[in-house]
This record gives sequence, C-alpha cells and structure tokens, in this order.
Amino acid sequence: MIVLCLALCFSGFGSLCLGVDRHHEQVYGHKPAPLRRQLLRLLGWLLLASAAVPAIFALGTSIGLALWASVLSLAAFAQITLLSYRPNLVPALSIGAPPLALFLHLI
Amino acid sequence: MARTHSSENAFRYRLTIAARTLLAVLGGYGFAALCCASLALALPLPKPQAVLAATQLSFALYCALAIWAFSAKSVRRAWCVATLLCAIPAAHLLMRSANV
Amino acid sequence: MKPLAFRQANAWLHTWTGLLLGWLLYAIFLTGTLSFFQEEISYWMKPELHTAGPRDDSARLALAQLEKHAPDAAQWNVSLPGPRNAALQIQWFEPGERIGKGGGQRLTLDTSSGEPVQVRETRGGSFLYRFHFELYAMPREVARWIVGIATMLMLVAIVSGVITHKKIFKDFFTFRPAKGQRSWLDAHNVTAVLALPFHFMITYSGLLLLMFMLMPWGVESAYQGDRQAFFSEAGGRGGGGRGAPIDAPRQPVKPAQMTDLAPLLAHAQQRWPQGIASLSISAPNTERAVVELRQRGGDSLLERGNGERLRFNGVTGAAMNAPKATPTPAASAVYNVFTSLHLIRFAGPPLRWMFFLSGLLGTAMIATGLVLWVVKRLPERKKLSGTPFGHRLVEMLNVGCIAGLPVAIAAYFWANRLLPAGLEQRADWEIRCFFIAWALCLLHPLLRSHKRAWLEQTSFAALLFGGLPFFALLQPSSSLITTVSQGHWLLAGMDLALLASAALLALATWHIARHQAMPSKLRLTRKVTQEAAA
Repeated sequence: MIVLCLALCFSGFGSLCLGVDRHHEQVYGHKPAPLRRQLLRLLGWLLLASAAVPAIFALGTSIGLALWASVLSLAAFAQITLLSYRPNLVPALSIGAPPLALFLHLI
Repeated sequence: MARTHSSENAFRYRLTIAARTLLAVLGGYGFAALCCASLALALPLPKPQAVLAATQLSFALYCALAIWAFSAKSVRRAWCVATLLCAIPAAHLLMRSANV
Repeated sequence: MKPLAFRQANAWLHTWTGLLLGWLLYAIFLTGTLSFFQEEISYWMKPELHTAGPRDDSARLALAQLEKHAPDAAQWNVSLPGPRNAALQIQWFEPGERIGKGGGQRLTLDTSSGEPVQVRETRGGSFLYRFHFELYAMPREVARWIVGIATMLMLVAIVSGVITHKKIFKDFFTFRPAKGQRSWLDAHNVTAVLALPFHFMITYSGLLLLMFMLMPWGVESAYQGDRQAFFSEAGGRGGGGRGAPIDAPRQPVKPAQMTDLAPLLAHAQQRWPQGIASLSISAPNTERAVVELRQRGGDSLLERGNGERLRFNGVTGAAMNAPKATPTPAASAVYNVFTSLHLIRFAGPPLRWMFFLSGLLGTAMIATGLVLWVVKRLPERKKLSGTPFGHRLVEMLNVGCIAGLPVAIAAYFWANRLLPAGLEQRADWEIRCFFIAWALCLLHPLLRSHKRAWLEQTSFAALLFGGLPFFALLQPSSSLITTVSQGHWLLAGMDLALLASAALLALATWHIARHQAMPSKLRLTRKVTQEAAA
C-alpha cells in the first residue's frame, strides 16, 4: 500500500514536472501545447490526491495523511534527481510506476 | 567630505537595523505574550481550551510581527503600527485587572 | 536608508536569521533527525544484547524474573522486545515508592535465557535526543530557552524564505548541477521546498512542545499562574488521551494467585497489528492485581498517537472496561496532532524512515544555506586583498559544524565500541569523546585552507562511518552478513545506514576534490591590478 502511494506520488510529480515549459523542453525538446500542458498539470494533481487513498486505507486517516505528506517529499526528490541527471527517463518511469506498484501489491 | 557622508549613512543604516531588530525581538515577543494573555481570557471556549488555543496561536503572531518589523516601509511606521497592535490586548488586560 | 521592497527586505531577514543561528539549527536538526531512531541506536550501542535471539514467550520469562526479584512489589513493568528495540526489560517499584517514569529498579534480560545481563553503561541514542533540545552541560531551562529562541528564529527564517522565493512553483523541479552559486541556490531551494510542510510542521510543533516555558502568559492570566490547576483541568499536558494511570493500593491486601496471562497476551497480539509494547501489573500476587497491556504504535494522532490499553483483573482474567474516551476538544486535538508528529512515537518503521529522510532534507537545507552564504560572496571577496574576518569565521564554522558534527557523531559511536565495558563513568566518557572530536573539528579549519579543511573532515567522517560496520565483523554475531541473513533488521538497518552515510560523505569528498576554485583568467587580472596599484 505504501509502495502504491509512493508510485502514485512519483507519477503525479512526473506529470506536473512535464507540465512546466522548461522541463518539457528538457525532456522532449519543445514546449508543450497549452492544452497538453493543462492536461499534464491536471493529471499530476489528480494522481497526487489519489495517492492519499492507499495511505489512509493502510494506516487510518490521521497517520495516513502524515505518511502521504512525507511520501510526497520523497517522490518529488526522486523526480528532481531523475530530471537533473537522466531527464529522458522521466516519462517512462512515471507511466510505469503505478502499474508496477499495483502488480507488486496484488501478488 | 564624501567619506564623512558615507560613514554617516552607514551609521544611520546600522541604527535602522538595530531599531528593527529590537522591534522584532522584544516587540515580537511582547506582542505575542500580550495576545496570549488576552486571548486566553477573551476566547469563547472553556478555560483550559482557551489557554491552549491562545498559547498555540501566539507563535504565529510573534512571527508575523517580526516579519512586519523588517518589511514595513519605514522604521517609524514599523514601530507605530506595532505599538497600536500591542495596545489592543494591553488595554483589554488593563480593563480586566481594573474590574477584578 | 532607501526602503527595501517587501521581497528584498525578507531576503535580508532570511539571510541574517539563517546565518546567525544556522550552525546551532544544523546541530539541532541533525541530532533531531537521528533521534527518530534513538531506540534503534541505543540498542545498537549495547552489543551485549545482540547475541540473543528473540523468543515468543519473553513475557513469561520476564514475569518469572520479577517473581524472583520482587514478589511483593507494588508494581511490575515489562517492556517487550519489538522492531525498534529488541531488548527485554523489567522494572519494579517497592510498596511506598513513588511510581513514575524514572525510579524503581530496572533490569535488562537476555531474551533467549531470561537471565539478567550486564550491559555496558551508555546513554545511547538518548544522548542525541537530549542534546537536540537540552544541549549539554548547562542548566536545563537555559538550554531549552536557547533552543526555543533558535526555533522561533527558524520559524521567521522559513516564512521569510517562502516570501522571498519568487518562483516557488515554477522552480519546484529546478536543479542545475555544477553551476557554482546557481547550483547551491537550487539545492537550498529544492531541499527547502520539497519538504516545506515537514519543515514548517517540525518547527512549529517544536515550539508547541516548549510552549509552556516560552509562552506561559496564557496560564498566567487565566489561572493566575496556577499551572497545576491548568494541567489537571486540561487533562494531562495537552488534554485528551486515553486511560487513567493505575493507582497503587494503600492498605495491605490479601495475597492471591494470579491468572495465567497467556490467553490475555494472545488476545492482545491478535488485536493489535504492531503487537504489545509493554505490560504492567499493579499489586501483583494480591487480590487487587490489575494487568494492563499497552499497544505498540497508535491509531490516531488526535489521541497523541498513544496506543490502546487493555486492562484485566489480575486474579480472574476478566476484562475491565477502559474509562470511556471522551472526544478530544479542538485546541487539544491541534496540540496532540502537532506534538505527535514531532515525536512520532506512533510511527512504525516505514513511516519512521520517511520522516528521517525529510529530516535529512531539512538538515541539507540548513547546510546548503550556510554554504550558499559563503559562495555568494566569493566574487566580491576576490576584489579585496584578503578575506574579511567575518567571512573567514563563517567558513570555519561551516566546516566545523557541517562536516565536524558527523565526525563527532562517528567518534561517539567508535567510543561506544572501543571503551572498555567496565570503565568508570563510561557513558560520560563516550559523550566526552563526542565533544572532544567536535572541538577539534572546529579548531582544525584554523590551520588549513578552506578547501583542504572540507576535504580532510568529510573524508575522515566517511572513513569513521564506513569503519564501524567493518569493526562489527570482529564479532561474528553482529556482522552485517550475519544480521542480514538472520533477518535481524534492527542491527542490519543501522549498519546499512552507516555505510550509506559513509558513501554520501565519500561522494561529497570526491565533489569537493574536483571543485575548481576560480577561473585562472580572473586570478591573473587581479594580480595585474594589484601590481599596478603598488
């Protein structure tokens, strides 16, 4: 559950990151179209919010929210490190993380 | 001539910094303490809850005043506004002690 | 003086509140972050306990020892081994003794045999914890005031930092490595913003934990200074919480056979996901015996993260109703949530590691800020003939604290390993080693150029940290290979953390070694200008 929370946060930050003009350019070589940028940002926020759900489910409301808040920092840190040293991996890993976490959770 | 002028400016600069710092440190704490004491009596909550709420809030008030001390456009304005703000809880406490 | 714009004024305020107390705040943050694992560190620092393996019936062994040592005690306490501390500890209070946190008699038991074991005297992780808010070698109140004032300034630094940071959302993901001052600013911004809710929470909750000392004026005005009255009306420190403490019976009572505790323990184990933390028996071996089991961890921050307590009649084994938990009022709830988040007594290992990493980010935030202050002023310094005293002082304190404190901590751990177990005042000597090492690190930069000082201290720290797990190889039961293969994660985790710290410090050393000071063209220009002026 915690891994799922982490994966969703990671994904969410990846999406938000690509929604910033400068970083989109870093990864794809061009600035995003306005609609694409809006969608990336919306998706990012939705993913971040949804990450609270597995945390609350596993640990109860108050402690779950505390976990979610600290996982947010960790996930953001991971994305920033990735972006600084291997920007090309950001989209792939951001898309792949939640399904992988879900898979790990189900087995 | 130029040297005296700039050293005078430097002295004035240091004075304003000192004035703002004094306000932030003493005034900030004083304001927070006054509000803490005043709100503990004024808040419409059961007594222990009012004390808890007032004490917990006081640090935010201290922080706000410290930021104000340095952000105000002039030192005079900083001190004047801070004094006015402190007067409110001070007056309340004085009235309370006069009644009791 | 021309009035500064709002952002600029706050930038100035941020720089000065940050600089003046940055070194103290760094120490507070680093020791505080380590304190999240104080129990684990304490256990690691008692190698006598590492050889024993855990047993399912440790409670039974403990009770047998209590029966042997104190059959007529007023209260028995047993601290059961858990994921944070694999030690089994018993404590008892004789009739008439005041029952409190300290006091009573204690024994640590070997978990496999149940026999008392002689453990080396050490303050363990709690030295770091106490240092975090009470420093050392000064009256408690003085230290708490110093830490309290530093925390109040930290709050101002955080708020002014947020006000100053113009592009807080736009620059959220920005980190540009290897670009000198730009990189340091990015690093400072990233470490600050990433965990901003944590930094704000930990600072404000730190203030709340000290608030009755720092801001007693509410109690003064509402209760005319009668703190006892306030605390009893508020219901404990912050109000709320479950269960009343067990009272010791006063009149002599008839002895009675106690019920078998095994089914009670089994019931509790099933009920609580993290297991039983401790068990207490008041008036054992009498008709008034009451057994209280405490949950490990907690369910809700509103209740201060305290776990549930189950009480049973000691003779019949019947469950006793816990006093009805009243809903926590709002102001108390706020206090409980904030303080629980600071102390994280409720947290299991995964959440604890998360908070630890956030704490490290905060420590990095302070460190990068201090370094940034120096780096930012390098260009203007090149124009002067020498380094101003203030700048030199900041440089030396930076090295002595940012690199020096890790050296001191490693020295503390090494002292724990190397000092003879029977040494008089052993715990004090370990702490002396910590301070001697730190003092040397603060003086060392006096004798060295800035870059050399950094290099020597970070590489030394890396060696010290890395050496500890290797030293453990000398004791086969404690070595990393053994602990990992046996799944003894309490010890393995510590050794891995030491290795990771060593790796980080080694990486830092490598970066510093590679660092190019100033482009030679500028150096040449300066030399020409100096010669022309002469």
